[in-house]
Amino acid sequence: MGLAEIKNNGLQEIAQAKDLKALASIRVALLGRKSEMTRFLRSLSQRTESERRLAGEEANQVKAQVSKALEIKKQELLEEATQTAVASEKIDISQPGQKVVRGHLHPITLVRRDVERIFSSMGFQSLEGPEIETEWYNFDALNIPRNHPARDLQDTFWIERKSDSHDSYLLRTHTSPMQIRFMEKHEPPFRIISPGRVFRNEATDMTHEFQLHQVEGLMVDRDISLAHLKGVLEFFFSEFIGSGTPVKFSADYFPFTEPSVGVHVNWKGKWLEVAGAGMVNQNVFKAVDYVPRDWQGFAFGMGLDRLTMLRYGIDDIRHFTQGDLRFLKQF
Amino acid sequence: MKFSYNWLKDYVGLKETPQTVAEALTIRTAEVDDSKTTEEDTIFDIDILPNRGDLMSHQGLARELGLIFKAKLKNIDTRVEESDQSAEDLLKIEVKEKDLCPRYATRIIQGAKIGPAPDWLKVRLESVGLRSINLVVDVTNFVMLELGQPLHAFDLEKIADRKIIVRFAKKGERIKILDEQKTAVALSEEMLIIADAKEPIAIAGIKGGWDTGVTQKTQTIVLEGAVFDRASVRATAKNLDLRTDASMRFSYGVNPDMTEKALNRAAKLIVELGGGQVLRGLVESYPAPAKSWLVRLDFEYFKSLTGIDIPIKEATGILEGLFGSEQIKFSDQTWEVLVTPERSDIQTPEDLIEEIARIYGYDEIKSRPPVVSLYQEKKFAWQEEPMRASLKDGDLWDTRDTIQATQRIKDSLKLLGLSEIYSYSFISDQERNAFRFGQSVAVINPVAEQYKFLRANLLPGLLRAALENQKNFKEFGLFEIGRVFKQEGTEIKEKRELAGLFFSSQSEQEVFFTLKGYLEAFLEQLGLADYQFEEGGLAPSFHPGKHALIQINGQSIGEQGILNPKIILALNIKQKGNFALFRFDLSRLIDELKDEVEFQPLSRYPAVTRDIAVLVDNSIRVADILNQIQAVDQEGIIEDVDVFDIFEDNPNLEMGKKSVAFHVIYRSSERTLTDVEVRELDKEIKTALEANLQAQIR
Repeated sequence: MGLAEIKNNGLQEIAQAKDLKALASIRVALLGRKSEMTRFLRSLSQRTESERRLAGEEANQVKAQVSKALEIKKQELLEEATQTAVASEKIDISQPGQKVVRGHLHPITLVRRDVERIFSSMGFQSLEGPEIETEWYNFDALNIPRNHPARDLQDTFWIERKSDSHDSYLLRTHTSPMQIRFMEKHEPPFRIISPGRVFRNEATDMTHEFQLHQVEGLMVDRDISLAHLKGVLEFFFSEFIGSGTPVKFSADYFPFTEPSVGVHVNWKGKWLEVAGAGMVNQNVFKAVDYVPRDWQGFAFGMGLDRLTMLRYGIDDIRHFTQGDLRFLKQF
Repeated sequence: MKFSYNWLKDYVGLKETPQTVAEALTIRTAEVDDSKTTEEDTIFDIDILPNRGDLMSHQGLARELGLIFKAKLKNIDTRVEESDQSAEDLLKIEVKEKDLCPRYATRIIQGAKIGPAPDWLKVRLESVGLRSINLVVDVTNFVMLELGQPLHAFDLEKIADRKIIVRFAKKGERIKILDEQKTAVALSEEMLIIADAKEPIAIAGIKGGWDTGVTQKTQTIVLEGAVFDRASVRATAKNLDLRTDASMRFSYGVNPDMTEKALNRAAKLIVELGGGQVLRGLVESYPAPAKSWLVRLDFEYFKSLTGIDIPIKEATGILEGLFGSEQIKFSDQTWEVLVTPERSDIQTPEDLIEEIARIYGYDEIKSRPPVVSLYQEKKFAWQEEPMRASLKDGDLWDTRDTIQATQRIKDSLKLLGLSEIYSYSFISDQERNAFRFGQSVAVINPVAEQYKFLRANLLPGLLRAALENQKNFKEFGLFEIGRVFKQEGTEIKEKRELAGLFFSSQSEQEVFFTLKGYLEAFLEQLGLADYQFEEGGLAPSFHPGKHALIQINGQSIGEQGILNPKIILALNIKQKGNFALFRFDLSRLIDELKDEVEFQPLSRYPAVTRDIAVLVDNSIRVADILNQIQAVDQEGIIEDVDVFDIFEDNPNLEMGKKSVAFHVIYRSSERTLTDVEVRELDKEIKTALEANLQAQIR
C-alpha cells in the first residue's frame, strides 16, 4: 500500500472511531509494529539511498498527520465521554457520611478558655493555686476571722490532719486565697486572674453542687477605682455575652473588699447577678505586708459553672460531674 | 428576713410602691429575694448582709428607706411611766463574763394581766411569720422586730434567790428550753448562759428556759434586754443547732444603745395593753458604756477609690442622713464622722466610701475602659518546679505556660476522639481500698460517706463514668485533667494528673493496642517522638501482665494498662466491654513539652521498601525484632519499620510460634540508594534475626 492510501484509510478510520477503546486499536493498526506503515518503512530497505530519504520524509509527514488526527479524535472522544458521564452519573448524597469519632471538651473548659482569652486580651495573667488550703489563706488573711458570720455563707470541708500541727487544712471554698498567695510574693502593679475548682459542703440539687469552679480577678495599682472595675467587667461581658451588654453594680458585702458590690448583667432581657466584686479591703493588704493605703485595687469572683449554665442553657448543674457522654457530646 | 411594707410605713413616710421599694433596696442595700403582695400588705423577704445588723428591724430598714427616698422618719414613743418602787430592790444581777456580755439590763413590771395580745399586734407578728402566744411574749417579739433588740421575759417568782448570773455553763448542766417539746439541751463549758442562784434559766442570746418562762399566773415580769458577743452566740447556736430570731440578731451584732429604748418600749406596751405598773429604774450591768468613734474620710480618696464625681454637698447630705448632722464635720476637704455603736460596721474610710457610693448610686460610676497599651505586662518569676510544691511551701503553682500546655494537651486528646469529663474529687472508702491508695487524704465532714476521701489518682472517677456510659455507647474514650492528693507521712501532696480510658467491645488485647495507638499519636502530636513503652507490672491499679510504663529519656512520665482484675472483683463491676486506661504525671509531661519541635528536612531521594516476614517464638517481643533491625542499621538509612501483620495461635503455625511481617523502609538524605546496598542490608537483618532470635524467615 502506498503512503497516500495509508494516510487516507487511516484518517477515515480515525474519523469513524466510536470510542476510546476503538481509537486505541486504530492507533495500533496504523502505527504499531504490524501496521501498513511499518511494513512500508521496512520495504524501503531495498531502495536507493536518495529514494529512501525521500520516502522516509514523506512517511514521517504521514505519521505526524495520523498522530495528530489520533490526538484530536482522542480529545473529542474524551470530551464526549465526560459529557456523557456528567449527564448520566448521579450519587445519592443523602446517604450518611463515613462516621468519624469526634472528641469533646467539657463545657466548663470551653467557658474557662473564653474567660481566659478575654482577660488575657486586657493583660491579665492567668495562674492556678492549690485546692487544699490552710485556714489562713482561705479565711483569716481575707479578713474573715473565726466565728465571723461570713463563714456561715461558705460551708467548708475540713481535712483530717495526720500531724499535731495547729493550722487547719480545708478544701478551698473560693479562689480568693490566690489573692493572698500572689500578693505575698509580688509587688504591684499587676493584674491577674485565677481560675480553679472550689468546694462547698452542701447538698446537691439542680442549682447546687459541692464542687464548683470559679475565676478570681485581681488588679492593683496606685489609683485603681470602681470605675476601672466597671470598665473591665463591661469589656469582659460585652465579649463574653455580646457587644453592649449592660453591667450594673448593687450593694453587697464581702469581708475582703470594701466597698463591695454585686455584679449584675442583662442577659437575654433579664438582670442576673453573675459576680461578686469590690475594692480590695486594706486589711487584706495588711495581711500581705503592703503598706496600708499605698495601693488600691479591685478583686472579683465569678462562678464558671453558672456562666456555663447560662451560656448553653443547661438546667441542671449536676450534669457537669456525671461524665455522661450524651451530655458531653453536645459541646 | 421578712419585713412588712405596712409596718415599715409606721416609721417612715413612704410614698413609693412596694415594687419601687424592692428594686431600690436590691441595688442600694440588700437583695430582696421575694415580695408577696396580699390585699392588705406586701411582705418582703430580704437577705440582710452580714455587716448590716442595724437593718435587722423594721425601724432600721425604715431609716435606710428614708435615706434612699429622702422621706421623713416618724418617732417611736419609748417614754415610760414608772412607779415609786425601785426595781433594784427585787432583783440582783451579776455578770461574770463581761467581755461576752457587755450589757445586761432588765425592767420589772408588776400586776400586768397576761392575756392574749390585741389584734393589731397579732396581725403585725403573723404578717412576718411569727405566732401569737400571749401579750408579754408577743410584745417582746414585736419590739425585737421593731427595734432589733431581742428581749426575753422571766417570771420573777421562779428565779431562785431572785438573782441573775451571766456565766459559762458548768460541766453536765442541762436546760429545758422554751419550745413546744420542752427539749432538754445539754450545755457545755464554753457556752454562755443566764442562771439563777441554782441552775441555768436561759441560753444567752439564743433561747429562754421553760421553767422560768412567763405564764398567765405570772405576777412579776422581768424583761431582759442584753448584748452578747457575736462570735460566742454564733458558735453556741451552731453547736446546739439552735438558730433563733434572737441568735441571728446577736450574730449580726446588736446595738447596746438600743437596749434601754427597747426595754422601755416593751414595758410601755405591756402596761398599756395589760395594765400593771413598771417599777422604777433598770436593773443592769453596763460597766463600759459604748462610745462613739471618729472616722475620717478625705474627699480625694473617695473620688480616687470610686471614680464617682459627686458634689461635696451631696456626699455630706448622705453622711448627715446616715449619722445625724451633729455627728459630721467637714474641713480641709475631709469629713470627720462621729459614728455611733449602732453602725459598728463603720470603722474605716473605705466603710464610709461604701455608704456614700451605694446611697448616691453605683449607677453613677462612669466606667473607665482598661488601657492595655499603657500597661507593661510582666512575666512573673516562678519557682523551678512549682507544681510539685507541697502545701507547706505555700507557693504559687501554675504559670501561664502550664495553662497553655494544658490546653494543647486537651486539644490533642480531643482530636483523637476522646471526651473530657470532670469527676468528683471525692471517692468512697470502697474505691480507695479497691485501688489500693493506702494512706489517703480524708475529709472530716464529708457531704456523704461515699465522698469521704480525696482521690489519689483519676482512675476511679473515669471508671465510674465509663460504667455509666457503657449503658448507652459501645465504644468511647474519656479523659480528665485534675488534682490528685496523697498523704505522705504527715504531709499532704497535691499534684496534677492526666488520665483517661478507652472502652470498646473489642477484645482486651485490641483495646489495649487501640489505646496505645492513641497515646503514640498523642505523644507525637505533642512533639515527644522519643517515647518508649517499657514493661511495667508493679502498679496496683493495673493488671501486672498488661501494663506499660511510658518513658521519655529513660524517665517514666506515665503508664498504660488493663485494669487490675482485683479491682473489678472488689467493686463488683459488670462490664459490657473492655477497658484500657492510662495516666500521666501532668507536670512531668508538661516539662517535656518545653522542647520545641525541630523540623527535619525532607529527603529528595526515593525510598525503597522491602518486606520481611519471620516466624519466632511467642516469647520474642516485637520490640526485640525492632532492636535487631536497628542494630544492623549503622549508617542510619532505615527510615522506618512498619509492622503490618502479627498472628499467633494459628493452626497453620507451629505451636508456640508467631508470625510477624513488616515493611522496612530505606532512604538516605544524601543519595539514591543502590539495589545492591539495600539487598545487602536486608540480608544482614535476616541473618541477625536468625542468629539472635532463632527466627525463621518466611
